[in-house]
Amino acid sequence: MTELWRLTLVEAGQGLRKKEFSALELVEACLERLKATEPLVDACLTVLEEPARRRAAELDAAGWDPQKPLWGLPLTLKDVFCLSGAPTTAGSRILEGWKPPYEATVVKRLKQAGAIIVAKTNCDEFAMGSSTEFSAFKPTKNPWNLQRVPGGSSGGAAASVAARQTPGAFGTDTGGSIRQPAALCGCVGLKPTYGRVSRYGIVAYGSSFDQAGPLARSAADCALLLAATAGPDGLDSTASLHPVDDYVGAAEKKPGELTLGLPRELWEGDFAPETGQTLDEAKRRLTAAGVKLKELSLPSLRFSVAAYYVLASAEASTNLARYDGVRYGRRAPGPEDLRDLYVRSRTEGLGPEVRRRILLGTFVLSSGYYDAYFRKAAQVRRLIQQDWQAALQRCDLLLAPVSSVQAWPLGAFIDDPLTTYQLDMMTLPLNLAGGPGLSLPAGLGADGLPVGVQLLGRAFDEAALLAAGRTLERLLPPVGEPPLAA
Amino acid sequence: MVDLEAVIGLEIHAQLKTKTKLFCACPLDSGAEPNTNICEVCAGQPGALPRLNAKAVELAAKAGLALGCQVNASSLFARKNYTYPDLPNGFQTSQVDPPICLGGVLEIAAPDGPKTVRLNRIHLEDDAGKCVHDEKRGKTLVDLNRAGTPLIEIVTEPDLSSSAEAVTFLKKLHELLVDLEVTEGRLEEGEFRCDVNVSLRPKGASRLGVRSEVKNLNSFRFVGQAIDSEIRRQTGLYRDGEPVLQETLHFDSASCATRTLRSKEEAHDYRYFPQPDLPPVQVDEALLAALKASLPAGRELTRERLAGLGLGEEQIRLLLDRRGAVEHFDQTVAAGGEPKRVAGLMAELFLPACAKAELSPASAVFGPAGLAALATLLDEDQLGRRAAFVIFDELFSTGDDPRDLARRRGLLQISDAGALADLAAEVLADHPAEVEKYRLGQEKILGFLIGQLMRRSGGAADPKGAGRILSDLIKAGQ
Amino acid sequence: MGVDAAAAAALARLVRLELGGGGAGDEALKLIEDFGKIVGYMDILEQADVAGVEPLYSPMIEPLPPRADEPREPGEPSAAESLLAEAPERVGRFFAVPKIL
Repeated sequence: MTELWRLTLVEAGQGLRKKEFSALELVEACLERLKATEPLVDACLTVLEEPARRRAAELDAAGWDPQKPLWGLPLTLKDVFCLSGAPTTAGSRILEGWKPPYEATVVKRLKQAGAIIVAKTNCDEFAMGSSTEFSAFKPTKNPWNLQRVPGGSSGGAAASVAARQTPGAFGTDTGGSIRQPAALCGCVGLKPTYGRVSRYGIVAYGSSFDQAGPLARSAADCALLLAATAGPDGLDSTASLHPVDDYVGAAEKKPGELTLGLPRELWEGDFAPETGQTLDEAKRRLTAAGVKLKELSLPSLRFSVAAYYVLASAEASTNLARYDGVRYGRRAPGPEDLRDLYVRSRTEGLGPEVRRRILLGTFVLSSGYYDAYFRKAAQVRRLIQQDWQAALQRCDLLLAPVSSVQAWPLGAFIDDPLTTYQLDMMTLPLNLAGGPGLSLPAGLGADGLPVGVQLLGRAFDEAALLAAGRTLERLLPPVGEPPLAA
Repeated sequence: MVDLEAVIGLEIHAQLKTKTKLFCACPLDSGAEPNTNICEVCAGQPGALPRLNAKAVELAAKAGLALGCQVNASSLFARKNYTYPDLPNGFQTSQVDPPICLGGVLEIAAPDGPKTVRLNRIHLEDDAGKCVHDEKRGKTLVDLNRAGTPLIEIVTEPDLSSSAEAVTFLKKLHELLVDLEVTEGRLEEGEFRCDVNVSLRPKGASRLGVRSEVKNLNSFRFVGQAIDSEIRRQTGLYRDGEPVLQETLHFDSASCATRTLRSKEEAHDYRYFPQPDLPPVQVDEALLAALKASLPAGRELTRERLAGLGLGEEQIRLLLDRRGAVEHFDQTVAAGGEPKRVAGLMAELFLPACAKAELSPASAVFGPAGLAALATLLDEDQLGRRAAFVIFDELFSTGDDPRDLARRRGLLQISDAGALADLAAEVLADHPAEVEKYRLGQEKILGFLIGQLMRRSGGAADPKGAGRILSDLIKAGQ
Repeated sequence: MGVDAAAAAALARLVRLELGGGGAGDEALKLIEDFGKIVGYMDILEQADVAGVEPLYSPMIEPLPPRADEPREPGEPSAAESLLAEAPERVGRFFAVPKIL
């Protein structure tokens, strides 16, 4: 009983159903683990200790409910999800102390499914970053090596899951923000198809890219969380009416039935030695098991980084215009006049990376530059989507690395934004194309740090992605538990 | 100094008649306490997303159909970015390319006859909140009740040339949109407001001069005054050889003068781009058909239908322009009037009489049955055109039966050749000298004889037929 | 192309930001330098052959149709009070800011 925090979501769900332990016992175990590990990893911004206990007790009193697929399961939320009455900062000073009076649709659905929200996790400010170092509050550390970053922007979520604080988490992925931290922390992370999960109540970064999704320790756990949240929402016009598949029950594929396309442009990059070795080993194992690997070319991927940063920054620059110190959030004290109120509230409230992207986005939309940058990037986005769709006609799914490097030392790239942007090369194309992707551990490098691979699929075919994910989990070496001296 | 002419274009904002805001379920402001009709969407809260009001799309498309626009099957919302305390998202959600409606026309009466004013576009957008300036506290106070209110912006081409034309245009547009229930159009509530663009150029020149824009005029009177004031100011600049600056002006109704709000140097860079939170706005064939059917005047359809009946463009325009005229026309045709004849009578006699008496067609005592009877008399040559003009005023004021009145006045044409021939023979017998002159080749004298015959018949004779009978009789008598 | 300090400052003014976080001048210089490098990198887009390619602004598929013009359920609590409660400064039921000149 003392180690309930070690259970995966599926295992915990079975234990709860069989009444081997109560929801409160599970929550207490997670809270205890959280308290033990949090001083080391700094994964959380708010711990909802009492509300979580109360909710668990309510569920226990009402009894296990077959209508609630996440009954009694403790989860965390990236701090971009509005949770009614709880602080929601998006990792930014400008929202410090703000408590939304409304709730994200994802949160409503998780609660309806019986989940218990235990904490809100750290992230890069407004989800802009790849290391969680751009959180205005604190950097999160990688449970595999506390001197290293957990990745980002959902770094708190990934570190929390890896540290076994809770068996599952929700994050968001705009350019890799679920898949990359999942890879760097040795978890499983799913970015659903754009529009599969409602964006309502999620603090926006890049509106045509943002997508919420689960981080957990297995594909089956991700399937459970996706099933509880997927589907149209009357509050988000871009949430798709496309039918929702059975993610939990999707049949696993035999290795011999799988043909995976390897996008040459993503496998040819310069890999850190341990990363490259681990990826080579992963490919060898898959081939040995009978998985067919097929090299493909997606030539327009070389424009991904530029197209992504132009488009996402443009959207961000106006999504963040609302943070002006007028209606909510931080207002600079003692403004001289209205302009001073705006400029100081925003300049003091928004961190350097956010300001950089607002400037970039403003530039590419500004008069005289729109066609050369914004429109051109949108045209390139079309080419990337076309390449993507063509490649997926020649294989079942694509297989790609998630990052060319493993978790890097804290501070290593903090002064080099362009290099950090280029590190996103392997995750961005999926967000440009709009499809779903699943990041899985491919093993530990010789340096003891996790390496990830991602399966990338057709729009709305998360079922195929998750089924193949289950197959790969069996074939690739498990990463196990990080050696946290908790 | 050369003669100058004014070139005027209008941008009209009309508040759509919906129950809820454009992108959320908040009710429209009806003078509630400040910040009561607000929610996370219209108050620009983090993570909130817009969902379009279908009724707003319908009303915009309906306005487009009534104004002869091309209604686009698919149009896009765009973010128009600028900063102001009453703009909660930091952007207005508007439309640029393509808007829901393109093109269109509205015809107005101008001093030199009817004038076609071309429309550039109609687009959907949301309104901002309101700022109140609290002098005592030195604060600006923000009320977001109006934020998110659905508007259409109607943009004309610069086809207007005077304040009078602009006001005529606006009044007509206002009446049309209110009739269609696209807007309630309460000017005092700001539900129908106008920006005017004014420039001057030498008369006859084709190039447009530098224009200024006067913002946010919410009465027809102010529009007229603002345009006149702007024409005066710009004329003065031309006379003094000063350049006109491209600038945005505010009209001060107290002094009837404009003053600068901002110049081009301070112009906004709105950084328009497609709004990623909203799908394209779709107007499918079924919706268009339903809207066409729902148009009370069915303006475009009616235009086509009337053209199909053989009516001339001018007649159609006159019928469409007068409220109730098409209905009156249809009832008259239903009562047995031949369409082209009825349209001619309405254009020449009936509608001018209505206008003069300040009556709507439906309230005239001379109803469709009477008008149909009059048309039939004309068609059957029982009444001459001139005779119809003679008795029309009386018919219009009394509502008498046209045949009865014509008979009483002895104006019914004698189409019976026998009866007319008897009268003609009497005329010839009474004027032997004139008959002799005609015989000798002085053919002009026939006009005199026709006049005599007309008089004798009490005006009922058809002059052409009378001439023929007279000349036939003279030849027969040789 | 690059962006010089004046252009960067103009952009910042447009979106109500100050370069350099209002702090030391060094931060502003670094930001302008980074910004110039980033914009320079974006010029790779010039190499893409996009003649005749329709821009893709969003990958949304089967989005929702517009909603019916129905007000909130009567009795459904309006968020107005809780939204007002978050205001940094209020005068009565108004959000308040320094007076616009």
